[in-house]
Amino acid sequence: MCGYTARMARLPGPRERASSGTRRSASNSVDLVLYVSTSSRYAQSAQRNCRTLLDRFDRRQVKFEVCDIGEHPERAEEDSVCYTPMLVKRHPLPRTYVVGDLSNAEPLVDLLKSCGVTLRR
Amino acid sequence: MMTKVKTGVPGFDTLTFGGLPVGRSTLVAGRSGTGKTIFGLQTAAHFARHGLKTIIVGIEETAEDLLATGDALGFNLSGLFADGRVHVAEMMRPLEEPTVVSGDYDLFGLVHRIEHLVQKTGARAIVLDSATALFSPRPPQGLLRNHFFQLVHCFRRLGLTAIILAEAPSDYAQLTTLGVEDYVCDMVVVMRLAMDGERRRRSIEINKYRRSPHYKGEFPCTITTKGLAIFPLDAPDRPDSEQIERYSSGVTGLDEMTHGGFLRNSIMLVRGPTGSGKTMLAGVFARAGAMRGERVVYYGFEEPRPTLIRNFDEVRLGIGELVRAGNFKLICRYPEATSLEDLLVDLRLGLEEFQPSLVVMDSISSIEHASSEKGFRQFMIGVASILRGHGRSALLTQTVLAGASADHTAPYLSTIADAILTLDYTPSAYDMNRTMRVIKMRGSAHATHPYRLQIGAGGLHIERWSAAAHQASAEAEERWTGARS
Amino acid sequence: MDRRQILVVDDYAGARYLRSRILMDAGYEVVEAENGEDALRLAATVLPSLILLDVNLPDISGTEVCARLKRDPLTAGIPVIQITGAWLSEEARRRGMASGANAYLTEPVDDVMLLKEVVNLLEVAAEEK
Repeated sequence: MCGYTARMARLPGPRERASSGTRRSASNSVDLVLYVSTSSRYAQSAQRNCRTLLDRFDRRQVKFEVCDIGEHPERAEEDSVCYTPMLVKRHPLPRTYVVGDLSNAEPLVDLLKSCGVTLRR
Repeated sequence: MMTKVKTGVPGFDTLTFGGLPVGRSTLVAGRSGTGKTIFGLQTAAHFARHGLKTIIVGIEETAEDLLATGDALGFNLSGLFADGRVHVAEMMRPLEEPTVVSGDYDLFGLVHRIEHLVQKTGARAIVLDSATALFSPRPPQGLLRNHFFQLVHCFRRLGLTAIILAEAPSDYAQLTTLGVEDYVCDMVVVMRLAMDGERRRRSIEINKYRRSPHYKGEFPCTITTKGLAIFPLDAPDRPDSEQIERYSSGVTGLDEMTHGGFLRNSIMLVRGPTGSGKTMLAGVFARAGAMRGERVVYYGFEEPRPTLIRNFDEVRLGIGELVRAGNFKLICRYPEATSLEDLLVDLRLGLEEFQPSLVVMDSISSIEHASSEKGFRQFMIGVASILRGHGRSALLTQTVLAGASADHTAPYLSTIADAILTLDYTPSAYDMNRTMRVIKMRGSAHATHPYRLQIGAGGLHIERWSAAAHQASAEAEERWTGARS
Repeated sequence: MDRRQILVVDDYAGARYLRSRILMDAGYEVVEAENGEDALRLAATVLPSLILLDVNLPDISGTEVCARLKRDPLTAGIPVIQITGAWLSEEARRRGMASGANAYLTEPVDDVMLLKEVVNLLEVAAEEK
């Protein structure tokens, strides 16, 4: 029989940070996708928050796109998107998921820093 | 009047007067291990086999896991999946992949994906396993209510007949962890699993069914080799016409007492203390049936098989030969050694296999002593349903204390029994004065005063007492009761 | 014309309940209809300040109800928000757009987005007076 276990949200631990650091690709770029549903009240604020955060970093090191799951449900399927908004770090591995409108900046900031993305200026 | 669709789960469609509401959502809640997933997969398989394409959505399980579970239960989900009659979708990422929460969110992602899936597959039904897994970690109550509503509303818009599984924190407190089902789901089903010592007792309850009549209260259910099965009191395939056909009890004089013999398709309860002749009566009854060419099953719960056969041999009933002939089955079991649930399953499967028209259970008291009051009650209801469902005639014996035979029977037993015979005895100087009385006989007139019972060669012999003998017996009985009190 | 009344039309009681509650929490009064006939009748008698119209109704389609509301001079001035499904065919969607509704929301409908649209349309209607 299938058991039910609570899914706990957690930040990547120090070990994972280190390993994702050593797996840095040559181009040093972080590949991010923000999945939104345009019907959702969080769509606008998530995009705004995301862009504001990314602006603090060197944009050359980050590849960022917004995906409307209403238009591209098959992409939502690929990344198993249930909750929106949801940000996915596709590269470098491991894949990491940030669920929510990014009103809390910490998860994304930590994620970028752990990938070695430098701050602007 | 709303349209319903059958689930194919035995008994469930009776409890609900036709099944689930089409195009609406049904919540199936229960603690872990109560059989919700089985219900969901079983119904999905049934829908699929009857042309209703179904999507099974696993939140935490992979598609392989769900199919494997279904296959293990014999639903052949893999086959249905290969045919495209069932679609299995995994909705969430594996738990190992890191996820962090950064603010508020909603379920629109899932909603879009389900819409897309329904469009692509043309599915008309959906099973979600489970809403609880979806809402974990749990968002604040207001948000959760919203999310859940979005999901149900999505199903409704798409015209899906939906089964939503949800984990309940306990058997009887606030039904679900969600607390929103009241205005959102059209039907709420609760599944329970109680531990009665070491025995498992499963039950199912239609807690709510909007705009439809339904059976109220808990009903025993069990997991058989074919999945979940429920035993409502009135089985759906009970022959409607109450046949007034009678058959001989095999006991001279008893047919006279009952004004023509026993009624077909009825359940008889024979109560009496140890030594009053119940087993003898049961044996004679069974034998008569076998001699008539009927298929008979005798379940013995009191004595070991060799003892039972020897006792019958003493009055030359020839049970051994009947067993060898093939239409008489003698099965001895120890109720202490099995769970009631398993016993019920064995009973059902055994009866289905052998297809007897006459069933004897000697005695149900052995089972009563091996379980709780509630467990026994549910077991008896289950037995009655199995017996009635196939239009069988049955004789059940019950052991009570001497002098207590006429005592009030437990109400549910009175309801189950179509006829009640009581046996008793009073010791006299030379012999045991055994008496028999017909307390109740649904559908027939009967003698009301006691008859005298004698056990001898050839079995039992019943005769009316002369007035004098009756008087003497009454006096003896008074002395007997007086001496014991 | 009552400035504070909104007519909510949906055959699903759950949706009506939730949408009504959102609107009432925001200070509006709500009148409900569960089919097209009732919607047309109530629109003409109550003359609400806005109509929330679901596309899937049991008797007449929501698009047809909207078209009739706009044809009738009595109700033509009432702003209509039409709620439609995302998976409809292109043709159905175009037909829906042509019914004359003042705004379109696609399912799934977010409550907050709905409220924004309602407030928006009511302001526009007020300005036009």
